[in-house]
Amino acid sequence: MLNIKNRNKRVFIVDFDAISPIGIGRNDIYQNLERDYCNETVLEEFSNSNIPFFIGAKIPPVKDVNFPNDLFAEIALYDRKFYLLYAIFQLMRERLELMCNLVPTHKKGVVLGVGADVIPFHLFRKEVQKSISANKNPYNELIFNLNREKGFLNKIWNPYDIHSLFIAEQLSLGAFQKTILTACTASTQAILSGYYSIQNCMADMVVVGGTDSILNPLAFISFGKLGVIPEHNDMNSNTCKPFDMNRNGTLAGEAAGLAILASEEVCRSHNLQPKYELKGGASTLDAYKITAPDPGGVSIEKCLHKCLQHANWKPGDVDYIHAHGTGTKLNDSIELKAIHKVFGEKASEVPISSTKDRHGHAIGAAGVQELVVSLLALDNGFIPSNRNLQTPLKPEMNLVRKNRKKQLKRIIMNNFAFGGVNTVLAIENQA
Amino acid sequence: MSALITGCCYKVPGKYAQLPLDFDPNLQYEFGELINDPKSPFHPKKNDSKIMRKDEIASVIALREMFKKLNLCEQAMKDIDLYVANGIFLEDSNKYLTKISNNFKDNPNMANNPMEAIYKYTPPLLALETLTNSTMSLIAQYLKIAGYNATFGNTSTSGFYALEEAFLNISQSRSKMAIAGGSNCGGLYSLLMFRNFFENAPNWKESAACAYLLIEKEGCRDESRTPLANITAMYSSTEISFFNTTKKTLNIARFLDENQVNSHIIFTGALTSNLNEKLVNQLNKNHSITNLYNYYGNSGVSGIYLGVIEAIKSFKNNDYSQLSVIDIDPYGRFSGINLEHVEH
Repeated sequence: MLNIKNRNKRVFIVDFDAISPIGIGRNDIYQNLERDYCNETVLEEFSNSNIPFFIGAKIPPVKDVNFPNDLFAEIALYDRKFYLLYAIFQLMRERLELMCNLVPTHKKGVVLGVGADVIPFHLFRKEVQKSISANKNPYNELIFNLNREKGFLNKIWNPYDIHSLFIAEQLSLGAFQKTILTACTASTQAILSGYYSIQNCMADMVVVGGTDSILNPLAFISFGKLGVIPEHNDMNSNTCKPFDMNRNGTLAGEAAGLAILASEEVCRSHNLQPKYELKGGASTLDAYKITAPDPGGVSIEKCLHKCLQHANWKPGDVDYIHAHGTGTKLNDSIELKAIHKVFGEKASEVPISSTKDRHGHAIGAAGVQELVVSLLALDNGFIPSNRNLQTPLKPEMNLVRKNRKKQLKRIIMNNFAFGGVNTVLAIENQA
Repeated sequence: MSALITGCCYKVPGKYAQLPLDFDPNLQYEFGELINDPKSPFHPKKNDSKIMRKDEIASVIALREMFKKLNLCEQAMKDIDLYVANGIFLEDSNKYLTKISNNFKDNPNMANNPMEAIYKYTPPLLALETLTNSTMSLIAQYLKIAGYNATFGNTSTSGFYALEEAFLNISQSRSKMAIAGGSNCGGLYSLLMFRNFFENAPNWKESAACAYLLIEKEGCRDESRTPLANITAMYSSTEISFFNTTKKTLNIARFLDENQVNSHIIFTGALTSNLNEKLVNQLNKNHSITNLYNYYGNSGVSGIYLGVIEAIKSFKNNDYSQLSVIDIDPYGRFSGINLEHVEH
């Protein structure tokens, strides 16, 4: 990109929250970060089967989730992403409405990152068996019959767009309703897209965020077979070890989160005192192979460089890097290599950690979940540790081993996706 | 604000066939499948194409052909932006699910343990086959595009958003060049997703298709690339009722009034022939129309790009100097692009 100096329009984060395996709401999440809580659990639906993957980070049932009508309740029953999104929307509803009412409909929009849809066929075994017996294609029959006479909302198999459309309808977000589908960077890119929408004067306020869950049979098993989730040989925990020499996979997870971005004019004219500024970000592509990331990490380096340039920061200005740190062999080594190259002599000083070891990898919602963690870190002067780190991959780098208290001004947040998509955000504390 | 289109490519079906629908024998569903030439020098490698959908293969072929034609080298491409809208992602995944369900039928014990069946029959690369950004990543892999990027999806308005993001970033000098496009898998899963929206429609026509545009900032353009058209404006409706069927009245007249739409419109087509006819009749009142539904039926996320390419053809033939491309998505969201002919 050209002209990546800081543009005139400043963009602030005026509210944020998430539903995570380590907390329902940001206060809960922060308390659990402080006490090093890890929600790595045996998933009952998998543990009684003879398959080698059965540990994940699951969000416990959220209390008092009340859907506006039966159809939404039904959708939520079969689409975990929608359920989680609705839960975070309900949690934040009053705050969202208050803020969104400050801006006219045509100047506010929504951008959400979501993950792949998985039809829960395992819940419809009887129906499927009936169709097999009748020599029909069971899955086509199932989808067709379940969705009859429902109108613009299907019971199962909705377009990905329904998540952003739902939020838009609830909050009168008329400028745009975008859905980003770049897997592990989806919600990070959603945040960046919201940022540019304000900079490009398409909106004065944007609700950004995402929702995803891979704790369903097909996704969970697919990621396991791809080698992203380690085989669980026993019921012991600490399966996810970001940046550890003995790492062998990530912790499957789920999350949903929302944040509100607002322009400087909106903040000024309504006397908002935002604590965080989104200074910018960058996104690049590996252009390597869909089956593996570029081992050279060249595009990740470029992404980090561009992000720093966009924010007008030098490496030494960064107080903390919230890393992608999946705990997989390839990601962690490439990520550290790239950070080392970009930060140079500062690489041994800047604290680095990933929190996927405790809340899991939420794929499409990873970005927004980790944005919430990053903002809590900024707000509280707190750096979470690499909880399960014992033998650091690069001992010369400042891989945080214990939670720390430290005043933080500037954070870099990384997310990288399958297919070689890299996105980095720069966030600054206004305090 | 403006941005120049200096390249375009697309793949559309050569012919259409009625798809048999055992679940709805009253529905006439015409589908145009993409046929990719395996002997094309631009065809992806065998190992990759095993996990690629037909529209993804077509996207790679089309773009490689365009790059060759425009003499675009890898070095020049590494910093350009890439925005892709993706249509439906399930093409043949049905075959794995059918394997699993057949296994239940033949092994009643297995029916009591569906996880084992799923584990046994899930192919190792299924996560990559159904990766939501696979089209964009495969394009990047084959064209060596490494710049700013996003995958949007999966209604036709997502196609508009991909193009709009490219247009705005170029207009505002954040980028100097971008590729924006849409890749529509279409097919049975698309029908099953949207059928319910228009229950009483007896006729559906859809194309698997892909279409892409190369967009540049004037002043940064290589002189060897001739501008094909200038994007002068992009706009979309701000209605916020999407799910409520009783409130849904498609007020295209208001959309046209609120935006400066040119007198000739290329309409990308609605999902069903009834709705398409209804909208075209409304458009016909004050505009002349080229109705792409007549050629492609609905082409999902690639529709708006096919509309722009049709506009480029019109400019080449000196039919018009300005026109607008108008799209409607299944939720009734309208979007529009104004284009003008560039003299050179």
